[in-house]
Amino acid sequence: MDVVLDIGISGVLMGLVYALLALGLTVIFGIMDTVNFAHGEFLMLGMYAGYLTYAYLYPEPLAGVPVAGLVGMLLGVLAYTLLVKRLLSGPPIAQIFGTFGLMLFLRYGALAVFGPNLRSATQGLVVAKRLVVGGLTLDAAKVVAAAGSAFLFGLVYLMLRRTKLGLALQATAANREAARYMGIDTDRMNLIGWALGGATAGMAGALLVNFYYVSPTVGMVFSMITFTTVALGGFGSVPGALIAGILVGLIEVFTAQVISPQLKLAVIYTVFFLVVLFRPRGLLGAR
Amino acid sequence: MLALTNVKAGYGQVPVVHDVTLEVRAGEMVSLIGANGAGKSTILKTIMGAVRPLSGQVHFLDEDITGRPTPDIVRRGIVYVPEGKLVFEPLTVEENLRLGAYLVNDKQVVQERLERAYALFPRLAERRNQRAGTLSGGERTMLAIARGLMSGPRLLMLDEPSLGLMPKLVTEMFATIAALKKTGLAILLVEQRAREALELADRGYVLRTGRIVASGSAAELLSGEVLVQAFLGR
Amino acid sequence: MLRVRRWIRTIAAVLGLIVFVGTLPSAAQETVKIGVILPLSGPLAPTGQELRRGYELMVDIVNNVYPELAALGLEVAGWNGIPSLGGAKIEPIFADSRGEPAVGADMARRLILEQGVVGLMGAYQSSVTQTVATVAERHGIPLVNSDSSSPTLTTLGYEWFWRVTPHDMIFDDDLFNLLDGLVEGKAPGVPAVPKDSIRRLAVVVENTEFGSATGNDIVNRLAPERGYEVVEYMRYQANSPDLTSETARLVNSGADVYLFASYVSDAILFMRTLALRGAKPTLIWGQNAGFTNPDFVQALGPALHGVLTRSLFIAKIGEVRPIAAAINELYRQRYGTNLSEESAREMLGVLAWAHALNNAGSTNPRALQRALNELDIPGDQLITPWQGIKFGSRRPGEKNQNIYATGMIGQYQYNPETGGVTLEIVYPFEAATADMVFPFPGWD
Ligand SMILES: Nc1ncnc2c1ncn2[C@@H]1O[C@H](COP(=O)(O)OP(=O)(O)OP(=O)(O)O)[C@@H](O)[C@H]1O
Ligand SMILES: [Mg+2]
Repeated sequence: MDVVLDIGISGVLMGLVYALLALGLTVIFGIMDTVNFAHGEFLMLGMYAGYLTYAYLYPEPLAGVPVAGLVGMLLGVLAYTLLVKRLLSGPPIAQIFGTFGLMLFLRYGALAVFGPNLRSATQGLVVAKRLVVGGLTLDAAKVVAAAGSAFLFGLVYLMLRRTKLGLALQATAANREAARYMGIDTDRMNLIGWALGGATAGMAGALLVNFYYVSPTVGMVFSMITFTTVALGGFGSVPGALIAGILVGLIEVFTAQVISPQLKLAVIYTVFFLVVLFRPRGLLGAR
Repeated sequence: MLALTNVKAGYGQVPVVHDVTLEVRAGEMVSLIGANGAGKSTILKTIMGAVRPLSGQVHFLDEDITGRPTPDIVRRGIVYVPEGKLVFEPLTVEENLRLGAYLVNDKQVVQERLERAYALFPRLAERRNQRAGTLSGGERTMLAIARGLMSGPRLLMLDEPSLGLMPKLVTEMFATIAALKKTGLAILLVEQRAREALELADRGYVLRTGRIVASGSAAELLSGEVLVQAFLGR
Repeated sequence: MLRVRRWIRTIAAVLGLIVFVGTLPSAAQETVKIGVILPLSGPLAPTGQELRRGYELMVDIVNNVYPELAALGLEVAGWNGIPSLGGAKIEPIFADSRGEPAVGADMARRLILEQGVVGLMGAYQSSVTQTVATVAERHGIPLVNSDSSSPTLTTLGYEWFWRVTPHDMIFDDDLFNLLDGLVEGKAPGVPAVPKDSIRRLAVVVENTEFGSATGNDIVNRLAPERGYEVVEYMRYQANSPDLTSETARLVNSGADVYLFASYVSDAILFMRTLALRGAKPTLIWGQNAGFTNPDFVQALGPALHGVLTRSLFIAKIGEVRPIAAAINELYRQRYGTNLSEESAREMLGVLAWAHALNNAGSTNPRALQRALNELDIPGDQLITPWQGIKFGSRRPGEKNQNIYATGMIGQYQYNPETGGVTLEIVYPFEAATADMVFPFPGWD
């Protein structure tokens, strides 16, 4: 029972980080039906932004979170204006190849610039610290990353639900043509979606720096999980991303615990496959 | 108020409408009649800046608005209620309405218009927190029109509002349009139901395969042979 | 007439000059070409460079006189080329395998047929070495390997393949020698410990060929043979985003000893998660790979105090082997870093070649084959704490494996005074550079 609680909490904590990662991807998809294959690389560069801030400016990984948010946002804006926008008039396959190419470019660009080494933060408010809550020992860094993710997720959700811009983004996602007739600059909405996706991925990256290593290929570790989360929650669904993120986190830990650690990704992909097969729109997808 | 001069427009390099010259004066209701695929929606989309004209000009309030971006055209006072009731299905009725006033920054004004819309369509007031995707066809039409009015337009363009409605609702809908006309709003109504549309209108144009084949006062058009010709293609 | 004679004289002089000059390069061409196949491009390029440096430095030591090394007793340092071949220099010819078996084989063929090499070295990845070995076998050209660790390579009955360095099963043996040594009271600074305090093993390996090779050898061969109990055999998903559940499982297994085969990313994550969980096994050991990576040390620093890892070569050996210290110093001067496992491997390979060539006194393949079969280099010539280099068989079916090759086991030790973490040698026991920290002190 203790193990169940212990493992369960850990699954939820990672799940919240997955949810924040899935958020950016699902928002971009919702707005313009484009899958950003470079999302994991946005995360990776956010991690570098966070790590480099920590290593060269201020020795606290949490200080890197806003920097990584800015870097991520800039990355999203550049990716959209320089690449994706130009591919919009082409067939959907052009967008797939375009963002896939961007993924390779960023990954191998990072390899060239930063080298293959793994870097890790070794000091900071929550780095390698324990948090004891009612007899349970938690990783303080994970708790903070999860809380930060939940907070950012909530912020974006409120923005989408409560502000005029959020409403316009939702309208664009729901019906691009009608949104244009309302006077909404849908092209700008695309841009904002990419900025939002980049910023959330970047900040998730900086939060991860508190307990995760940084390397040019680290995007790979997270991107499959993120895609699965988005598909599970329903492409374009924001609440779906949250629920699916937590679900994936829980499946991951409990598979490792109950079945076998080497099967955990296999089980996640199986669930994903079953959802695609029997409920293609995902758990909460609109379409 | 609105004037199209020798407009040629289409998709890609293929023109769909040719040499269209058309006018809507202030406070006037004009009906644009034509069969399926004649190019009616294309004309409205060209006015909205959603379709780029290949040649010709669009003027609104004596200014050249040819090919201007859609938000600019909405801001100038033209609103387009698209065909097929393009409402934002996942959003509530009220959110849909607020989106109609997207370019209005004065919250007070938005609130007033919201109340006016609910007064005009009490059914929408009852369903204000309901998702638009759950509305019936008639309610969607109401919502689409009400949403269009939220921007405070000087010219309202309706694209086949009767489409897919049962006869009783069609009558109801035309009554609503008549009421709107009385408020002094200029209206450009696109319809396949020529008779009903012309009976309401001051003037009319008949479009056949992308060309205006007849125009004149509603009464003239109703009495003449042109209508039959336009639809039967003789 | 006179003019004609002058012409003839001139022509004769020119011809004579040409003949004379022509003899010069032929004297300079007295080199022994050794083909070296390495992954010099592709993902393993950095490793390839490291390997190459080891070759180059040792070739230099053989080809030129290094009095300070010779004074320490290193025979080849006193040579100026291969003595029995009239001072012929070793000329390494590098070829890039790109890490691909087919490319490696092709390179071997070209080195033999186009470059006329008398011998081969390489090719790092066991899969590439294997294809290179088949080419060497077909052409009857000796391949001396010092950088591949798959045990199968020396069990295929090859007549032209020799391995200087230990293979993976030897490394696994070393681990159990250390465990047995602890029980027998042989470990430096540790009184004999009851076997029950280290009997229960948890074997944690990534779900790849590397992981399962180590895991299966420990679980199926060594643990039963030496009387240890495997309470958890965990094959985990490599490059996991999170290892909390795996760690919980490990801690709950109640094992005394945690044995890992992981690359650096998972190794970091495992250690961090174990530390947060306050896990307290009596011993933690890593099968090289991630556990010797500098990034691993950077990430964990003092938290590594007491963690063990096997390695072929640990620079600290210089403290007990002056030759290793001197060569390491030379290496540092030239490349700015300590000798690594990779560079050390290749130095040993070149050393074996140098002695074999000298003993053969010829570059004839048959003579070289005999010289390699009979090679017996004493341990004092080496930078590793081995008894020497002598090819033979340590287990049934094995052939041309250096019977003296062993690995080392190092222990990370934190020095509170310097604030630094050093990898001290604790095995082989005779080569220990520090007392072993036992039991593992935990993370508090
Ligand atoms: N996006 C588009 N791309 C290419 N061709 C189009 C596009 N939209 C419409 N068309 C073509 O243009 C022509 C006119 O279409 P339009 O929608 O303007 O007709 P309409 O008069 O509004 O017809 P309906 O009464 O059916 O709405 C048709 O042949 C149609 O197939
Ligand atoms: Mg139409």
